[in-house]
Amino acid sequence: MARGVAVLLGTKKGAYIFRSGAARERWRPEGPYLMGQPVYHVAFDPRDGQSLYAGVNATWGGPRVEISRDLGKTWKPAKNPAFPQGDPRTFSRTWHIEAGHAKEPNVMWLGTEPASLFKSTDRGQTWESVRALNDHPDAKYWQPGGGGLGLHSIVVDAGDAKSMAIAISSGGVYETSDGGKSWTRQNAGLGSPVPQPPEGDYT
Amino acid sequence: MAKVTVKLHGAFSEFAGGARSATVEATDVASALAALVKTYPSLAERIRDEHGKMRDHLSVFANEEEIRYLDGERSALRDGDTVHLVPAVSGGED
Repeated sequence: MARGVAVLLGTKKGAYIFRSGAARERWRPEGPYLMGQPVYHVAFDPRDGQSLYAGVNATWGGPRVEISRDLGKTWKPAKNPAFPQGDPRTFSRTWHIEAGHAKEPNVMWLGTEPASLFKSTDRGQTWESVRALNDHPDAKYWQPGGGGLGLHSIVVDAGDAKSMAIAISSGGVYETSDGGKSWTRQNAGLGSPVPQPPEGDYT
Repeated sequence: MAKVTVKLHGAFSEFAGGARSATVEATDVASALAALVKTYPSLAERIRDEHGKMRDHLSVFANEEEIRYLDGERSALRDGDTVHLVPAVSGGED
């Protein structure tokens, strides 16, 4: 049983860490970190036990990823993700940051708006477009949900470094089993509010 | 080339590690911003997006006039001029 637990919380006015013991009776707040700035997501890297990643979507200075190597005491911005030269899309929000598989200690994944996935192989310092997903033939059917067109969830398969799933609002769930080289839509049985092409759902 | 001062206000000072101003050589606002970014590379992605478009909620003044009422980034600068980078405030939402 865990000796303690920490909840990482992103808010419109910064990031907080709430800590408690195993019984979770009392919670001790830390923060705000990145004070006054909208933080969509805070992620912990269990592989080094020290790094936090925050998705900041600030009014001033635009969207970015902030990295702490000392559990929130100090933060530095990463280089922004960018689409390849000639691509008209503009990185406009950070939605989700996820540590890669335990066997790939330098890999991080980033979900953004417009709905796209980026991969880092240097612990979040720089990001490269995952083109097999970002240029997927389905992308033309993806439509903004109420919060925008974001890739908001990333799940890495703990048992297989090559397998992961992502979710897009509104585009649905996509899975890869080859480390991101190809992606398959996994929306069977889900309803969708957006116009449907004949071959499936885009939820 | 004119020698001008660029003053960083609010969040834009924080993005430059707390620096409040820089002296640069420039002919217009665009070249002043380019020189500023050379001095403080951390400002590059805070001032412009990846397509080079100036970010929203950034007001740039040449001396006492906002550059959109002048000649935009092509607004000419002279020796002793001051360029201000000011976080713009907007809203009114409940």
